[in-house]
Amino acid sequence: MAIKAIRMPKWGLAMEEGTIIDWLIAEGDAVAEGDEILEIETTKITNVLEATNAGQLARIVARTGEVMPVGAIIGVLTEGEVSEGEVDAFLADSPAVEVAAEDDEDDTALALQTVTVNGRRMNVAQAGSGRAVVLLHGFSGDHGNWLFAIEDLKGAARVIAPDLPGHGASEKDVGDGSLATLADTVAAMLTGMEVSDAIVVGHSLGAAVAMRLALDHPALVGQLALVCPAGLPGGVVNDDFLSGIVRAEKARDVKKALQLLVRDPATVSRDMVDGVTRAIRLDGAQAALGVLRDRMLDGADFAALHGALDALPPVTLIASRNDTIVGAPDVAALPDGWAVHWLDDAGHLPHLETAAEVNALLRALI
Amino acid sequence: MQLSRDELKRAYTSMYAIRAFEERVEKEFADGTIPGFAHVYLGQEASGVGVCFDLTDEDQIGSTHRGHGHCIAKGCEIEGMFLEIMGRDGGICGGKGGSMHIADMDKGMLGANAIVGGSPPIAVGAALTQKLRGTDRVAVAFSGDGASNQGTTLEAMNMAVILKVPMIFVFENNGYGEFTASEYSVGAPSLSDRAAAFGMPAQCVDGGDFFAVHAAMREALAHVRAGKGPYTLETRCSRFLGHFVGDPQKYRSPEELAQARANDPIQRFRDKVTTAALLDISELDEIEQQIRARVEAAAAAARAAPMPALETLETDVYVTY
Amino acid sequence: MARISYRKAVNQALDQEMTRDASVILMGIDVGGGSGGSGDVGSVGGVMGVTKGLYPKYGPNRVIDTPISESAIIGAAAGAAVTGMRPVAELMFVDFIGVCLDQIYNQAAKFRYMFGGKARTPLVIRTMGGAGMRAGAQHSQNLHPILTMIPGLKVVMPSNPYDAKGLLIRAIRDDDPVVFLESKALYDMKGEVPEEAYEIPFGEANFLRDGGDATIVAFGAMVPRAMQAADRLAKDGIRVTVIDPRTTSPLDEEAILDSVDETGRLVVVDESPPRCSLAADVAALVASQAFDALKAPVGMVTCPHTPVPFAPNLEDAYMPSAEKIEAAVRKTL
Repeated sequence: MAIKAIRMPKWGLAMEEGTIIDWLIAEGDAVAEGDEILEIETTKITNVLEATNAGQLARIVARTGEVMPVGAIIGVLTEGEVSEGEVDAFLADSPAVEVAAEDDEDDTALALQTVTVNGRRMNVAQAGSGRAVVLLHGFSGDHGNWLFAIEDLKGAARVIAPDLPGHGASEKDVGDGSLATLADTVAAMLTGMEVSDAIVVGHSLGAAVAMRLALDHPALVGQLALVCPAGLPGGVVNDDFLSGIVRAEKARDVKKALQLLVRDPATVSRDMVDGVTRAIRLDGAQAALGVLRDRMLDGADFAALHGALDALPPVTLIASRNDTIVGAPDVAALPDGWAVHWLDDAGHLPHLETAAEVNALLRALI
Repeated sequence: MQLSRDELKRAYTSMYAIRAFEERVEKEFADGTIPGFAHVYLGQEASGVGVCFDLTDEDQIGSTHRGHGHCIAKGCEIEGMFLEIMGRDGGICGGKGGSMHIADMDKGMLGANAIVGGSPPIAVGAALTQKLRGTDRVAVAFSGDGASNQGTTLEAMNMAVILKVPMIFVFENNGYGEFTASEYSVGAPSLSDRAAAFGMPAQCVDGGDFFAVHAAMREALAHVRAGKGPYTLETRCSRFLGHFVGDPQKYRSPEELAQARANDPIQRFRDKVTTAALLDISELDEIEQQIRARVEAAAAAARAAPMPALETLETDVYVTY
Repeated sequence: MARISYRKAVNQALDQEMTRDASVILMGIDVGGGSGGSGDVGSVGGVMGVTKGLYPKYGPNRVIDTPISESAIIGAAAGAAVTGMRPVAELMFVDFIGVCLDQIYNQAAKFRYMFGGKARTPLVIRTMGGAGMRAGAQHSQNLHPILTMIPGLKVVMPSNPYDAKGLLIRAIRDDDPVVFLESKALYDMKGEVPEEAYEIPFGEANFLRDGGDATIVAFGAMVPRAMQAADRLAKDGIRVTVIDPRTTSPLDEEAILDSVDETGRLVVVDESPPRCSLAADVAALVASQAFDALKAPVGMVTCPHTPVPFAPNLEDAYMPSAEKIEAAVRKTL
């Protein structure tokens, strides 16, 4: 017999509370470890909480629509025969809100720092220790796009997730906006952090930066994981998205653009829209993104990559069949030896939309 | 300081343009081609032209409800003014302002102002801009004897002194605020006397004498451009007509009205320059003919011009509901 | 990201814009503070300390202490604006618009239209409003309805530090006159605010919470109270959308109408007497344009039609509270 509290998880540094969107199981239902039990809306996207133990859902404490702080009891899971009275007693004895203590003290806590690289201010998130896993976000994103991956990987690796130039809290100066400039900046940052032989994971534009980084600074990159990468043979550049962000004036414009990224537009939360809106409203941000957009549409940087794919370190390609932003890469045109994984259930943001699947693939690389 | 022949011609051109313009306005108003009200500047031409004579387009003035003369003295085009006063397309303000709201930023004309005492605070701000930019430009607030009693004017005078801005308060005392005499409404022997209480130098001059106004204005400009703070100039004027066109002026005696006409500033200018042989009568007459022709043409063109497009009703505001 | 107060957010916006653009100047009563006194000049920074630190940094030509002459302050700021500066004039309490309203509504707000589009008046009038400080009837009003009805004038009511900074930067860069109505009840409210400069556009409502059961529209200091009410309702499983229009003019009508279209129920919270309030205005908007969507009469939570009282219990009763908002929402269900 055991009674366990299901608490509001903390997905990422910024998360202070979450909204219960829907319980996927009812009171009395049995669950196995890893089963999806409820949907929670966070600062980025609606995500599914998986059961960490097997058992039975004895009590739903926080109902659909409730906003609960991180660490608050939202349900009770039991194993074996447990009476209602025992559940009541357990709830009475348990702190209503409990912040996971380990996160505050040990080295898996996510820390944000500002470093100056090649004269540019860079904002970078770090957590965990061990082999370096560098996470490079895509166009108009920031390190927070990796919140689920960071949460999953930080126990096994030193996770480093910068805001690329022009993004997040990093400097808005993107220079010529070339992949080489972005890669050089990341390289200088990693060198300053004494990183080498890293697993570099890039998403979309970040994946193209990762490839450029591996080519121009080979000592830094041990292997690559490319999630919905931009710039591969056969790929496309969806300018509805790019210019939608570059020209957005109101949050509803941003929402329209972000909905292009996901398979189910309803999963784009208000907070995700607000986060991107806030980022692009910083002075110079939209101008910087405009430079990057023009550079991507120009295509020369991508063409240069196509000729050098053979020179890349081992690559894991995670592609989405329903990706309308970069399209589907022409696998036949890729070097032999790339591990290619196709995802069926996500759009262009599988690390947010189907995080468990992506996290498992990334975990396997460490 | 003696003005050159060209300068004298320029002064007369400006004064006579006001005269001809306002007489045309009087007629047009009687004919019903000018909607609303018209407050004309007849009889005060020497004041506005004397004040504005040495100002450039970069110097700024704020005006009054009786602003046509200030506009012309500051260089606004009479063609655009007629269009505006008649509420026509192509008017200086697109027909949205009218007689009491003619403005032309390019000419340093910050607007006629239908609020008595409206301009002085705004002119303080214009002067502040010049001070902060370190230019030698100035701002002028035209007010009447009526505005001299407004709190806004008195606040502006104090503010101008303490901020030490390059600004000249011009009080055109034409003896009446609407229908009430300044003798009655101004509790001081003269408007310019009040300036002393604010710590501001002042002069009071004959506003019917272009040369007196101009000379005083030169002193005022020298003072403010030297960074010594604001200056007050009272010009004693006499309006030929009443508060507005059509005002029967029962509150003024026939003698007073006759006296005003007898002191006609245009005639006084003519007499002075011809007596001193500075300009020939024929030169002055030629100026008059040219202006008359231009005014008639401008008025005729304005009468024939279309009204503003209805679509402009909701333009020039940031939002409509 | 730093957590700073609403007061500091306003100060930071002014500071950054003054650094960026030399034509930005501050003027008002004690914006520096202490001019002409026998002690330190510039040590005050406004009666609430909002502009503190700017006088020492930018000097007397850009942080201009003025006499207590509101007409001259606002008029001179309008005049400086129309001749090329970007003045931020401080009208200490919004209650004082009575002694300078002509310069706002007859002058600055009309220049652009009245002069056929030829005048630009990039004027910001910073002022503060709102009850709750035991400040009595002439220091506690929230006169945004009077200002909102003036064509040509933009009216901003920031409800949190992030919005305060971004909206003020937008206001300073705007070419139309803007009244920036700060809430004195919120000056100590803290929130995350980026160090960098950013703009929030006018006429874009902020959705603080999404919920399908009802829509609450709240302005300024009423927004946190609406959120409290939303929290209380959530405990009973009632999910409400909370909308902060941020600007009363331009008003984000689309956001309000779209939300009411989804929820069918509306409560408007406005710290103002009811007649001609923003509550009445929004209710009229929805009644005239989304009548078919309404499932219940529109709720209005306003102050009574009285001056603001002094006695603490009376003043508390005067204000819309979370309890009153909660009750108004329940009444629509």
